[in-house]
Amino acid sequence: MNREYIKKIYGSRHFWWHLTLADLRAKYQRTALGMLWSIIQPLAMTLLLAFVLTSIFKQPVQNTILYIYSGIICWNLIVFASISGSMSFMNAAPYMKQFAHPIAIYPLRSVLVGLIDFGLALIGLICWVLIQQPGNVSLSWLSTPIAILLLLLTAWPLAIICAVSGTIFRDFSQLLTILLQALYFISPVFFSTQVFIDGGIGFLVYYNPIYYLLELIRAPILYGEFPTLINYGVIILLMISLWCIAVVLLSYFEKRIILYL
Amino acid sequence: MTTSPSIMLRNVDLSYSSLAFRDNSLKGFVLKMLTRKHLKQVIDIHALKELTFNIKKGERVALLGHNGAGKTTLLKAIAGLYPINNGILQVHGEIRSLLEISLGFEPESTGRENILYRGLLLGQSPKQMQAITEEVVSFTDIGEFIDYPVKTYSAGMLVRLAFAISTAIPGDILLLDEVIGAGDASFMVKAQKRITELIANANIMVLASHDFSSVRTLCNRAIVLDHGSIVFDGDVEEGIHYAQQLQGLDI
Repeated sequence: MNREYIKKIYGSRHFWWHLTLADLRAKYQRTALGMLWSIIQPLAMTLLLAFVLTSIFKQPVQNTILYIYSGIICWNLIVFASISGSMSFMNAAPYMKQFAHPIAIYPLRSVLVGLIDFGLALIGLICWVLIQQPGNVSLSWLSTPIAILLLLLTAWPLAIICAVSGTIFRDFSQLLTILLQALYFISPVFFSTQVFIDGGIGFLVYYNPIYYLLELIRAPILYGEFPTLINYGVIILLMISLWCIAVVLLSYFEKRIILYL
Repeated sequence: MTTSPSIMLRNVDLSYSSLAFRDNSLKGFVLKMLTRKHLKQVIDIHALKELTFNIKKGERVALLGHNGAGKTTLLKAIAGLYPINNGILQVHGEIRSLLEISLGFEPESTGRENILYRGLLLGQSPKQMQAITEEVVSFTDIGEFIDYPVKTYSAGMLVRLAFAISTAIPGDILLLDEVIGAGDASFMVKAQKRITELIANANIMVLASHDFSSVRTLCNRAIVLDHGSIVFDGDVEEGIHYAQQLQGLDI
């Protein structure tokens, strides 16, 4: 991805931005109330899981709910970026056959839709914490915009990789669904990290990039702490590795992908 | 630096990788890797072979040849959509290609919104689109439907919308796959007029067509393709004659 390519992505910004808005409008059914679904959906899921988990583990309900909700909204972003990303070239085929825009903009469209959905859900989380645990508010909250930027820059190459794989291997999305399902259960999305450590499977937490992605949001909002430097280090390493793969794929498939559509 | 619009091809080769249409499942791929079964070498489709020609400002070129001769592939290569394997392909000037225009609408969005999206797809800015939207809307002549979601449109309305937007933005180099006629009789007249204007305003036009009468009226040069190679390049009448002979032999 050279400078020329990035310029072209910037040059087509009106196009991909309006497509993103079109997706959001379709998603929210053109009503302001529709946006509430971004909060209601993870909230419903959270309450369900919280009921089960607090019954089993006798954890304090309130902390568990915030923990699960924050986990689910981040997880939804990862799932949306990869699943919707894996279809992004196929869905954009009519556009790609008419005009040669940089193909990276189509996975970006998926990621932006997911990220805006995430942003709305995050506002819900922040309001909740402000009301329930105002003591959490600290300077560390200022790290949230950085977290969102890191999430964007991690989810985008992930979506590009899924987009290329999904176009070349038409059964990729089925496999992806299974992989994500597995990852969901072995990541501390709704189980607390303590559950993993007590169970002797702490490695599933500490060698799991999902844990570090979740901590970017959880550390400041739930605990009022900055994410650790190691945490940032892991995310940046993850980001760079994903970009390396994405760039290699793009440089080979930028022009050729149209032949697979 | 401004160079006048031109298209230049030197020994251009284009082949479709057989990979693209062979068994494209991950399952199949993994199985093949595991069983180490040697793949039967599937031959790549050689769609364009050693094409060399120049098109200068003012030329109206007809691409002739039977189905599968490589006309559309050549247009898509010139439009920068298809990758060439060998040779040099240089295009100066802004390309306006009317290829597959009836595809690519956002079904949940209104006709008006889709006009904007299509304009942005073609590289216009929102401001430029604002300036021409009303003209496009009135050209489609579909009344209040313009503010309804596109998924509610009839086929005829979709064609009108697609045609109106795609022909609203002029360009230096016009690439056409058949002269597009659209809709019912009354719209057809309007559409023909619009296309003629668009062609008149373009510096270069390349038209792939089977319709010899429109080729006669619109073009001043003919290139005949056969199995991806150029077999004739020159005068329109001679080109048409050549293409007819070729097709006569093929049938």
